[in-house]
Amino acid sequence: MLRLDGKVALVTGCGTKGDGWGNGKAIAVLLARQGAKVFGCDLDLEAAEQTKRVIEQEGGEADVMTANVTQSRDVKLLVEACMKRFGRIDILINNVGRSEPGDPVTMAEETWDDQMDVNVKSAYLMMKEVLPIMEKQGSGAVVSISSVAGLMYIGKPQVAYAAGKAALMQLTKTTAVIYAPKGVRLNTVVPGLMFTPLVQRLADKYAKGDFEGFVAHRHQQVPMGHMGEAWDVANAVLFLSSDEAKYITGQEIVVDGGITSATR
Amino acid sequence: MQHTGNRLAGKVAIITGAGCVGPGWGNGRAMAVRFAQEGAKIFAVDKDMASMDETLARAREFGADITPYSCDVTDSNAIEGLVRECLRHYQTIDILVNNVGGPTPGGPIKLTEEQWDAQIDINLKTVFLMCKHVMPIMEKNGGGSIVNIASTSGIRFTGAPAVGYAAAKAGVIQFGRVAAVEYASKGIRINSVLPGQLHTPLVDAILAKNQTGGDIDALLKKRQARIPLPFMGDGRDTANAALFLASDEARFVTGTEIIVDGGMSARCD
Repeated sequence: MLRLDGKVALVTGCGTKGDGWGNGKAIAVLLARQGAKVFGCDLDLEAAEQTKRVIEQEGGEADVMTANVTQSRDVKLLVEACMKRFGRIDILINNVGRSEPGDPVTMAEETWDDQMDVNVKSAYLMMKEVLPIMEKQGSGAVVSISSVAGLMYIGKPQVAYAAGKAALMQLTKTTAVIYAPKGVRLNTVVPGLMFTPLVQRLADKYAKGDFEGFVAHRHQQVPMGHMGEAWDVANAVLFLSSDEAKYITGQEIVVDGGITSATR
Repeated sequence: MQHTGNRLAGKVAIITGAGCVGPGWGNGRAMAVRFAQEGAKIFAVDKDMASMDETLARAREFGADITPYSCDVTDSNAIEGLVRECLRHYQTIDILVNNVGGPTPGGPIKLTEEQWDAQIDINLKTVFLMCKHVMPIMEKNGGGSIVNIASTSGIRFTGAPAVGYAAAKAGVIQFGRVAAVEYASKGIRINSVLPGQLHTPLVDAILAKNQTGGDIDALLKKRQARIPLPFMGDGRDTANAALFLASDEARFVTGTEIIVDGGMSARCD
């Protein structure tokens, strides 16, 4: 029942810079493995193309384009292109997001605005275009990718990211109640500390480039003793996207190895 | 047909409360059948052996390996026997689903002290005792997955007072979180599923009597009015969430909950 045959999934941020598996790439590939046709977008077209190649090499069907989903014009073009290519949208994955350091004093106003745009306005714009399509179809599943940073302080100053991810969860939860009678489900996956290619960039931003030290610190922060992988996020996304979760809406699945259950 | 999937292939699962108060899909029955469909061997436990007849029949339709066992899981000595018998039969325990429980209506004044004690025993102490006897085996094996069936009653008022039940289910959730952190590095994951107002056989058999003088339709209507999705789920929805948590797909998921309630707990309007 985790099969998604005949379904079309739209995944934002579907590319991973370089090799390795980021959340968006793992999600796109896993949904395709389960039978979905995938339409993806990324700021970085080459990264998106690589995800498409992986899906096609495995015998799946995918198309990608570049889009900045903080811009309503790009979002409209993206959704139009997906509809033109595949004719429907059954699954929407709001996966775009990025953390910038800072607290209210040290963060520039422009950074704050940019963080709100990328972490929550992107999902609002995607829902704005996709929900009418799902409503007309009479069904659909939206999964937003948040972060445990949206639930509590996790060890580094990133107030705008934290606020944006909390907003993303509440946007998704309240929209879920409004759209439940129309057969559209909306849920959030909340990843904890994940060992993805992004960690290198985080180490540059938050640990002055001390990658080894940053990785070791992140592993030991997690009660399980290690970070998770993009596939762990993708597995939860797949469950929520599938008909197995037909009675689940307005909720979150936390995928964090136990970190938010403890203050040690 | 042996089974339809392989998400739990070769794993041994103890499921308590695997019977049901009537025909249809209660949580325990649905989980036993769903887990078996995915290749698990099921050690099915219930106090009432006969209540598991339909569970066994449905699981054996597709050739499941399922063994029924009668046990009162509020009794520590009886659980020792249960675990011994499961190990004798299947050699190991990979998955434990704590599904025993049930509400007694009443707020602090109406509920008697005896009823309070009984509510804590059946809804919370059962989880503690099962974990106490099963976790050492999982620890020795280097891991395992425990799924506790709590309830949205553990996080909010849901239409009828049952303080003993609500407090005990909140206890189940927190028990799971705290034990999960302690055992995370030992490979044991512990999570809870919080079913909302499902239409299970319990509604027809017991709740309608308690809440609407036996009028099942009136109770279903009241319950549906709280639920954003335009239908009521049943035990199979609980089972799918429990299956995800029990499986290796959730290998990085521990100390948390999945709420299966059609969006009910996302609103207070």
